[in-house]
Amino acid sequence: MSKTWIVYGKEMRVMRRDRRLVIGVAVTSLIVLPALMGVLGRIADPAPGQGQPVAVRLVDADSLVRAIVARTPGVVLSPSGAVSIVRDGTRYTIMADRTEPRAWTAASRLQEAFDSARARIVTEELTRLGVPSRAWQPFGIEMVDTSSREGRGALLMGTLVPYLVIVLLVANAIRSLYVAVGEKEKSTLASLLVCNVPRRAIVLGKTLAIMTFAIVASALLITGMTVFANAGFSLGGGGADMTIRLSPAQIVLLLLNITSLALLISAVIMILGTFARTQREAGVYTSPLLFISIFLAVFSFSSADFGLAAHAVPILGNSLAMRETILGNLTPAHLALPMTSSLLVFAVLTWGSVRLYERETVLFRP
Amino acid sequence: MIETRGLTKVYHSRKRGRITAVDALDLECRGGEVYALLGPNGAGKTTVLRILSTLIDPTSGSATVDGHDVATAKTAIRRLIGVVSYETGIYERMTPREIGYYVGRLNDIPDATIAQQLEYVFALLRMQEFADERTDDFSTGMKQKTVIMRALVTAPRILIFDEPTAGLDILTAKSVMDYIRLLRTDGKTILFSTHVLSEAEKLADRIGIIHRGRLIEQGTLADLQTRTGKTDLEDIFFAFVQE
Repeated sequence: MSKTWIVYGKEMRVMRRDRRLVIGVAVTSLIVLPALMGVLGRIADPAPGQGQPVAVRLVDADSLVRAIVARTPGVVLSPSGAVSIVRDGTRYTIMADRTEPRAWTAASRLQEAFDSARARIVTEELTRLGVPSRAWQPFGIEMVDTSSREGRGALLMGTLVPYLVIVLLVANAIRSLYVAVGEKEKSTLASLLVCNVPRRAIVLGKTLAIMTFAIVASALLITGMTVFANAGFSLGGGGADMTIRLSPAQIVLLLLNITSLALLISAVIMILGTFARTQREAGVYTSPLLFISIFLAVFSFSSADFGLAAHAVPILGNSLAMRETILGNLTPAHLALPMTSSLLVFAVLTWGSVRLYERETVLFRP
Repeated sequence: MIETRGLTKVYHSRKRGRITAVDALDLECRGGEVYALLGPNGAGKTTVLRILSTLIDPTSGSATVDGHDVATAKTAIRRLIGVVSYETGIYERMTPREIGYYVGRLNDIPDATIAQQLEYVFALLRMQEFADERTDDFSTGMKQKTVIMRALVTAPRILIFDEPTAGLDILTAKSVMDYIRLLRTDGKTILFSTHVLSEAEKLADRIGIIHRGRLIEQGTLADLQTRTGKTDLEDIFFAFVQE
C-alpha cells in the first residue's frame, strides 16, 4: 500500500471516530443550513396576504378609493397607518417610507390596484360611449413567466449552491485543521518523521483527508437542500414553486469542479497548518481565507457575464462554473480554466508544504 | 555502533542570535551497551539525539549509526532505530494495536510480521489488557507504555530515549527504567539522555557528560571515579561541569 494512502487511512479513521465532528457536520449540512435557508425563504418571500396587514390611512378620500383600498389584500383601513393616501382635488398621492419594506410593498400593491381599477373604469366609460376598443387600446400586452419548475429550481440552486459549497468547503476544511497541525500540537510529529515515510506522502495523505472531509460535508449540504426544496420549502426566497433536478452529467461535472476546488482549499489549510505551532495559531492564519472565499463566492449571486478571464481566478472561476453547470450553460473552457488554475495552485502549495516539512526551523519551532 | 566526530549544530535566533547547541561533540556508543548522555537542561542532549534520529541535520561534523551517515543515509538509519522522547504524544481515537500497525506499515513491515512483533511487545510491556482500547482515556503510565511500544514495533536494534522519565511520577518513571533494563537484556543498543544522575548511575554501562553542547567526559562509572577521585556521580558531575 502506498505510504500516502496509509497516512490518509489513518487520518480518515481518526476523523470518523470524532463523534462531535461527524455529528456536527451531518446536522449542519443536512438539517440546519437547509432549514435556515427555508426560514430565510419564508421571511423573504411570504405568501400574499400572509402576516400582519399594513394599516392605511385615508385623507379626504371618496367612496371609490375607499372601496379599492378595502379590496386590496394585505392592507387594512385605519385612522393612523404606515401608508397614507391623500387627496388633492382629483389627484391622490400614496405616501410611504421606502425604508419600511412592508409599508413600501403595500404601497406598491395599492398602486397596482388603483391602476387596474382606473383601466377598468375607462374601459367601461368608453364602451358605454360606443368608442371601439381598438381606438383606445390598439394592442393588449401581458407578461407571462415561461420558466419551468425545473428552470426556477436551477436558477435558485445555481445562485445558492456555489456560494454555500465554497463557504462550507472552507469552513469544514478549517474544522479539520488538526489533521495538519495536530502532529505538532500533540507531539506525535517526531515519531512520525523517524518512520520511513517520505514527507511528500505525509503531506499528500493529510491533504487528501482534509479534502475528503470537506467534499463529504458539501455533498451532504447539496443533498439536504435538494430534499428541502423538493419537499416544497422556499429556500432563500426563491419561492416554493420549483423542482430541483440535476442530471448525472451535471453531478459529475459539479463533483469534478468541487474536487479541484477542495484540493486547492485543503492545500491552503495544509500549508498554514504545517507552518503553525498550534491550532490556535493556525486559526489566525486561516481566518483571511474564509473572508477571501466568501468575497469570491458571492459573485455567484450576480447574473452578470464575467468573461473567460474571470474563470481563471481560483474560487471565483469555480463558483461561476458551478453556477453555469447547474443552469446548463457551461462551456468546456469555463470548466477547464478554474480546474486547471485550482490544480496548479494545489501543486504549488503542496510543494510548499513538503518543503516546510523538511525545514527543522518550522517543525521544531519552540 | 553510534559515533559522532566534531558534531556541531548551530541555530540562528532573531532574539538570541547565533546559538551553538552542540559544539564539536565526539561520542561513541558501542553495540549492545546502554549509554547515558548526562547533562543539565539546555546542555544539547535533545539536539544530539534529534541528529542521531535523523530529525535534524548537523551544521558540521559527522555522525554515524551502525556505519550509516545521518546526513546521507537517513532511510537506512530509520530502519535501525526506535525513538522515545519525553515530549512524545500518542494518537487519540486509536488503539495501541492500530498505532502499532500504522507505524509498522509506514516502515514497510508486512502485516504478519507486525502482528507477531506486537504480540511480543504487548507481552513484554504487559499491555494485552488495553491493547485494543482507544488511547483517549489512558493513564500516564499506559500512554508511556504505548509510546515505548510504538518505538519497538519495528524491532529496532538501537533505541534512543530522550529523557524518557521527564514529567512522570515516581512509579511510572521506575517502570520506564525497568523497561530499559529489560530491553538491555534483549540485546538492544540503548542511548538515553537524562539529567537525573541516579538513572545514569543505575542503568548505564557508560556515561557521557554533556555541558553547553560539549561532551566533557565519557566512560564507565568506574573510569569517571578514577579520573576525578570521587565516588558519587553527583560529585563527579559537578567536578567536570565546574572545571
